[in-house]
Amino acid sequence: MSRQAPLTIAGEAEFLAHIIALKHESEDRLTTMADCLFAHNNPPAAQVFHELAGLISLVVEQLQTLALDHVLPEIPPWEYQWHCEDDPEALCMEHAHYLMSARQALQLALYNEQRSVEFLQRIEREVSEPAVREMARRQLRVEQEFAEIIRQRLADLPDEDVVCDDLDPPHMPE
Amino acid sequence: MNIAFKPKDYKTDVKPVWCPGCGDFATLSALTRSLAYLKLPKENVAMISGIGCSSRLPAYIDSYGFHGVHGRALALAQGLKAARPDLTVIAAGGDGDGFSIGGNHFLHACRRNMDLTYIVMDNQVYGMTKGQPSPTTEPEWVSKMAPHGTRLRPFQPLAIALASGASYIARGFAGDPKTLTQLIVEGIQHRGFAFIEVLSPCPTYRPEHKQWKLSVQPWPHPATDDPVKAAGFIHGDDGLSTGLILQRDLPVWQPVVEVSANVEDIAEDFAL
Repeated sequence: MSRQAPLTIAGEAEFLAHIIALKHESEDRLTTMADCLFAHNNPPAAQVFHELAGLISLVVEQLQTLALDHVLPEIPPWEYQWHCEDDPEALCMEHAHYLMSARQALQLALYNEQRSVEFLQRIEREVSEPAVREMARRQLRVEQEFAEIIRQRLADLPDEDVVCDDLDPPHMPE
Repeated sequence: MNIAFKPKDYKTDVKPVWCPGCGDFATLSALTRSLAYLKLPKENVAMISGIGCSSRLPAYIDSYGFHGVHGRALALAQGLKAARPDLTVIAAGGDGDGFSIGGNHFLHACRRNMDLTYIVMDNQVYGMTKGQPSPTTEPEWVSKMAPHGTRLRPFQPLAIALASGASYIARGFAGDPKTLTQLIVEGIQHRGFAFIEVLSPCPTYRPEHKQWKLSVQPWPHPATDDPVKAAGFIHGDDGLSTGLILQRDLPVWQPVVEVSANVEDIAEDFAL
């Protein structure tokens, strides 16, 4: 179900509409995941998502300031030109689990960040409008820096993965 | 920058307690996106549910809401729509709530064709009560709660909806929120009873649902208004195809309610 057709982002406003929707969703999913993991008594993984959501909110603020000079188009949610089923940074929820470790949380966040990088690289490659390509290049640098922060945090983790105890195990299929 | 409704505007401050990885998060997200896209004022929307994991949804949507009793989401939703036809009424719940305890209401809601939307997050298990088989569980699924499996043929939501007269029938997948959003938007816009089954993975009791991502395919037929064609397509389906299946114009049941009392009269009756 991946989108294969070339991207046709017509101008800066349409690019900003895409990237703001993407980062809004990212912030929302990271916050939701943090809340959810706190509720499931998993503070180490929750803290990872909470901190990343805080960083993303700074990016959202910058983009919204940039958007003040534009009238953004209203795009139906199913017509965003993502290259995947959902917004590239909308955490692949099927990989989340209430017992996930901080390492797994960071790996999931990095995976999403890489999808975002791929999306921006596609814009750079496929969109003809020079101003859009330039905006994509700038945003790409932001995303690459963010990915680097996550990689660094992964590198800083102790070698041994810390997994929470399951205080209320489900009756799993036998 | 133009002022627009944002999906976030429709979320409450109540934090979802669903398990991380639960498909219901995607339905929540698709719903808030749909409401924002349709620019529906919060005060004109009512979310109604029964009991179960997915039935917690009204707590997370910033609109009017009612978290009702088990299996009675549609009874409540239809009652509300009868009294307040001006509202956008959305009922939501799970497969146990909707097809077992609320099965009777499901049949008659399809038949009655009131103008409301019913979203069933189908995870093929009773998650809230620790993993009993539900009406849509496969007969051979073995767990501590059903050591020999149910040995019962699963309930067929789409076929039952069609046979009972639903005028909008669709299936979405939590792993494909873009399509799910479109189905919900179209379901809300549809005049009549819109039934949307959502394949919603349960990572805790049905971890094998992770495989759905590999198996789910777009519905291989164009949406039809012909129930005979739809019946053939549904019976030939493996349960993992998603999209709009049937949409047709049928008379919508909407009673004319005569006002017999005003708020002051009612308050007087309750005065101590």
